[in-house]
Amino acid sequence: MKLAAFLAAALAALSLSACVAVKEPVGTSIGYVNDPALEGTWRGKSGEDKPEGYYHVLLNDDATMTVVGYAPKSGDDKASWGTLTLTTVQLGPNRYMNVRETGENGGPPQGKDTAQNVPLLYRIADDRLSLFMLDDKKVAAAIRAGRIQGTITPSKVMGVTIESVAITADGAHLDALLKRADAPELFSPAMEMHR
Amino acid sequence: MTRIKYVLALAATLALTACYPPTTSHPVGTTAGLKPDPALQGTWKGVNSDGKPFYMHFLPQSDGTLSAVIVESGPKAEDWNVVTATTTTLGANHYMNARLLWTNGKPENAPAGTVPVLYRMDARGQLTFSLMDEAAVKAAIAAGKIKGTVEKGELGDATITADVKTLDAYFSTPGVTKLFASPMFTVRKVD
Repeated sequence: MKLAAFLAAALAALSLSACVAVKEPVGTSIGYVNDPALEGTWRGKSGEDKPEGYYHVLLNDDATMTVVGYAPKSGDDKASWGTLTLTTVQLGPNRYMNVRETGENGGPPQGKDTAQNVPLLYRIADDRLSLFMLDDKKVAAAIRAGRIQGTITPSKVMGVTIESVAITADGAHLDALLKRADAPELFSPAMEMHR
Repeated sequence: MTRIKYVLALAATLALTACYPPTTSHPVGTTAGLKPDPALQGTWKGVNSDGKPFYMHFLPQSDGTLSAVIVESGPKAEDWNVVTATTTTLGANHYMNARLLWTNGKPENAPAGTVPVLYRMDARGQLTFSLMDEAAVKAAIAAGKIKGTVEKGELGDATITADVKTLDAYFSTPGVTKLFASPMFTVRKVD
């Protein structure tokens, strides 16, 4: 499930087969409040060979945030820009954001589902923002253990068996799971940013 | 008079006043060629009139234009804008033909034509942008120095309608810089 384009750096880190689908965004059971700690400009890159991108976070009045991202030219990749919409919520000790791609280089995201939300766990410390994404293998194990309702669909790609993992639990059950202190164990590091 | 939103940075040069700044019905520099200025490409940072920092990202486009993505930053940042521009050099002057496309993700209803912006880069790496002074442009049109139209009323918009050859000849003269106001803002290259 391919996510994004414009934030080549950020979204490459969140992309492809490792992405776990969710039925509902995180936090629907309690509602969203913008986290002011995210406001402003962050910089980060997904790979050592990539230049740092810019991620400008603006707080909107409707409990959403807009991210305007800019990825500099890198090798044969042209400079690009795009927009994301975020919502944030705190569940227990854990802070989450739902990320939705809304624009790419002045147009709609190319070939992507703009309704798709990607849940991320995040931490902010000393002007560093750490993003974590649901780990498909860890979530698959949780589904098999009955900790959360979901589906695991195996398929073969070029002779290699891969599993598509989806959490099918409703928002309330998802929130209950992600509220637990041990919920971060379901996530893997995706990206580091700094002011 | 076309009222547009108060926005920031380069977009502010298109919008800070209640009136739309002087425009040209043809882009400046078509006879010399409109090529994206590589010196502009990348990221610039400045401070707007509210004291808020902002970033300008210039991106070359495949159609020969530049997109400028301008975003406020820091606490209480509110606005982001997208401007499309072409650039040219006539004589010693660097010009941008700018058009405000979006404010905060919503399309702007900018009038026809483009806004000529004089830009300069100094030895310290500072980039300044100047808009045409509305009163000076109206006076030049009234004096027959350049062909154009002026809407009725004190705040009527001014449009230079000269053909491309006449326009470029006029903007190639050293004295044309007198038609431009003091720099609206200064930015520094950061990336």
